[in-house]
Amino acid sequence: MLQKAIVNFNYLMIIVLFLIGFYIVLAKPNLIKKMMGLNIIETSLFLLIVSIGSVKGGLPPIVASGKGPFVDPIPQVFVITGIVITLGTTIFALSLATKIYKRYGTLNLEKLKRAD
Amino acid sequence: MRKILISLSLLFFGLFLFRTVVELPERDKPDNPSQVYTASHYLKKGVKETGIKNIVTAISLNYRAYDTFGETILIFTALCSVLTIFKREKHKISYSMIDVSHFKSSIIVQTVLTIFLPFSVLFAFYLTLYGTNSVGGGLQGGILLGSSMIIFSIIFGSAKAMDKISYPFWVFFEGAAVFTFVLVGLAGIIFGANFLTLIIPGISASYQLLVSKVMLILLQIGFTISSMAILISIFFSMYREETQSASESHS
Repeated sequence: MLQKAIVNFNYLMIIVLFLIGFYIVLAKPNLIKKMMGLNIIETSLFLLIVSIGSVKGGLPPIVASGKGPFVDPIPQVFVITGIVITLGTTIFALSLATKIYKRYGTLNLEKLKRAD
Repeated sequence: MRKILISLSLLFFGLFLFRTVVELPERDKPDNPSQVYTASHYLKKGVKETGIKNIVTAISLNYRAYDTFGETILIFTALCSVLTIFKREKHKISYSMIDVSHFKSSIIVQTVLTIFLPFSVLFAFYLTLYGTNSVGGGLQGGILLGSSMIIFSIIFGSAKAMDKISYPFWVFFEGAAVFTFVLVGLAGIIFGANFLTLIIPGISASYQLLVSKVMLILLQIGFTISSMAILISIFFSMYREETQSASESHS
């Protein structure tokens, strides 16, 4: 089990990144920081998806570039879609945060709970 | 106290993730299950079936064009939701804090930007039009075009940047991707194939590849225009709103 964990150390780093993002979302009271944590979680998932498709010495999946083994193109397509979804959610969240700041003058969740 | 509790529960959660991830197949092996079935089909027969050397573009706009169609609707919805929160500008008179600021951006930054921007725009067009044979694609080119405009408006102020936008066509630019996808998809239905299959049945196979390639490049151009326009519109709506509130508080 430890042997496999050492071979797949990139997945372990992705778990660490995911947990850092999750910690920021749970522990930080600032709304902008929560969004940053959400973005870190999403980035870690993109890294996971792309690294599943990797091949040792793999070329980018442009067939004209050579004969050798190519990396898996499907995760890359999914990650492009995922980046667009992240963009959309982040934009919407940021514009809501702007409105909240204008209405209440703060982005701190603890203070927002106390303000009526 | 709360932070310690959160850390402990996350560590517990991380143990579960660790237990799952360890069972994944060894990385970088060419015979992993993710490499064997669909991916190998796309890599071996993709060029023959679609005529496109960049397999990522071939998958995203030919094999799984429905997925990308959903993506275009998604960014259009993101724009709509932002515009419901910040209203679109009505009077075409707006300014940002950079326009009224006493501190102009330095001459070095301005000169470097004027030298650098044409190349970035040219590279964006390259990414769009050459995305079938090399790296690139519609979304990447559009994002690069939009971010060039955003950098320009941050350095030179929004008044100069607004002159560069042609307003009568802007709404059509924003809807260009959805429009092109529906149009190309309906062309498939009219000629007797399915929606977004990018083929016209009944013509010889050598022309078939050309037709599907032309349709795919059309989709890419639409995607580029629309992602550029949506990015710029979202940026300007946020940028402007901030300045309006600032001017209200000053007056």
